[in-house]
Amino acid sequence: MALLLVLAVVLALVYTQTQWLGPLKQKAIDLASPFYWLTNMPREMSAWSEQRLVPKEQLLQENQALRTELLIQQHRAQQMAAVVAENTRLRQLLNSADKIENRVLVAELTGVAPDPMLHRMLINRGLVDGVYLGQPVVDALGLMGQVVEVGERSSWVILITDTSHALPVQINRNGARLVAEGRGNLYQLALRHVPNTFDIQEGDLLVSSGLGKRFPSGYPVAVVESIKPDKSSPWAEVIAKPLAELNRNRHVLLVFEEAPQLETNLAPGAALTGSGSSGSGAHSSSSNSTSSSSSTSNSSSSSSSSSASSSGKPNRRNRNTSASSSSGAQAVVQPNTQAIPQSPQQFPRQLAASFGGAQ
Amino acid sequence: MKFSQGLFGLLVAATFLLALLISIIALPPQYVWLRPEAVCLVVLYWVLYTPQHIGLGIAWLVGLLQDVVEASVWGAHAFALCAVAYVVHASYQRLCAHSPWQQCFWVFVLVGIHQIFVNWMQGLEGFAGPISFVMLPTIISALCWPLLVRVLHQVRGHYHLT
Repeated sequence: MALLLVLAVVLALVYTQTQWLGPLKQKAIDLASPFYWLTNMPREMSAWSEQRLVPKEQLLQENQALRTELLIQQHRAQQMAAVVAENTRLRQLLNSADKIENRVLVAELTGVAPDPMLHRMLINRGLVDGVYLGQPVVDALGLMGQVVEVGERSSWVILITDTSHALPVQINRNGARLVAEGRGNLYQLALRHVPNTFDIQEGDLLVSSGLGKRFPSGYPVAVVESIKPDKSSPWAEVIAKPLAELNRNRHVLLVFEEAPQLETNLAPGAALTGSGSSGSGAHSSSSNSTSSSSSTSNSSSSSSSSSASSSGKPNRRNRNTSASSSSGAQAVVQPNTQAIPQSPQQFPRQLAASFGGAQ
Repeated sequence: MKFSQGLFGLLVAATFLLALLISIIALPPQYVWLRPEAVCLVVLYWVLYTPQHIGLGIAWLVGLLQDVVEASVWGAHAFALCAVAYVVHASYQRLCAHSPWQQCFWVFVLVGIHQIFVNWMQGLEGFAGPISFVMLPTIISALCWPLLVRVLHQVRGHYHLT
């Protein structure tokens, strides 16, 4: 009895305080995912029967509607191409780095962590699909979170509203940098260290700033919902509402930041363990940075706190190597990405090249 | 004898599996707080009525499996279930003498202890919840107890498993 209890406590301490269980955690995801798959069965079956038992007219109608929508989207994409090309030219004039559009992979939600304090979800993509630790996850409307544990065929994603999560953001209107942290509420993000006199308004769009080197910049994150200036402290209390449908999604997008084919000559395998330790370290250290910034609330400005939180994020090199390391990744990822229209990416690069050649 | 033992093991495994599935099935966020602690209830039942077969070790292992599946701190549920199973093991003769409705109060206390231990362990990683969130599932679990006892008694009686 006493032995078992002591064993449990030791296990819990090892789990929370050290990285020793990293490889076991990876195995555990693959052990856990069948259970979630089982709980998903009734829904899958009803979805299957719904798909099979649809009248032909309805299908035709839906098909027509989708075609119309596709036409509209293609029209927008054409305009996008021109704008992106112009952006590329301007960036070249400024001698700044070319922003390459990110590749994405569609993943399906298979489960949600049952503990309401844990905002995590299980997705049906893992190492074999090239998923790596710290990979950003978005949906159609905004940023959702990042991958914290990767298994063979499924992984855990932590949502931006989890209490241990914080990410650097930027106000889209004026570019001011802030840190948005989770509060354990799916509909709220708290903005840290916003001075009472700060230029922020209700309805301001917050986009990811990319400063933490974890999330790509420019993804919409949240909309400022309420601002309560606090006369007794230097900081106002600002709450933002996440744009992503954090609890209503079945399908999410995994964003690949770097093109893996650039670094295929790196040795696979070795990179995985390195990224494992760095990723979970980043998770715990991000929570550390959150708590430290909350205890030292007299830090001078908001930008200093954002840099503090971004320094808690992992180093970039490990993540890149893990993205390129799983050799099966490209084979699996490539067909999926081809399903997404790539014309706005390819077109401007050709244009930019011809433009550069003309110079 | 061999056959009935195998059947008993199968039944125990099936109830644990079912309880695990209940504890992870996706619920709408507003009802998440009403989820009964199914695994804890099932462990309580088996330790209470068949203490000669189901002991602390199995409770510990089931708890660990729950931790792994739920992505909570490993050892949290293992610790809590083992502690609760120990209390039941020490006092099953007295508890068995009560009717299921009277046992509800005991179950309330035991599941409460389980919840407090789990919450404390989760707190090691910063995920401890407020006290009302600990209490609600405990009350629901206690109310589910007579139903569980009735169903499992009937299943066991049907197959003559003791």
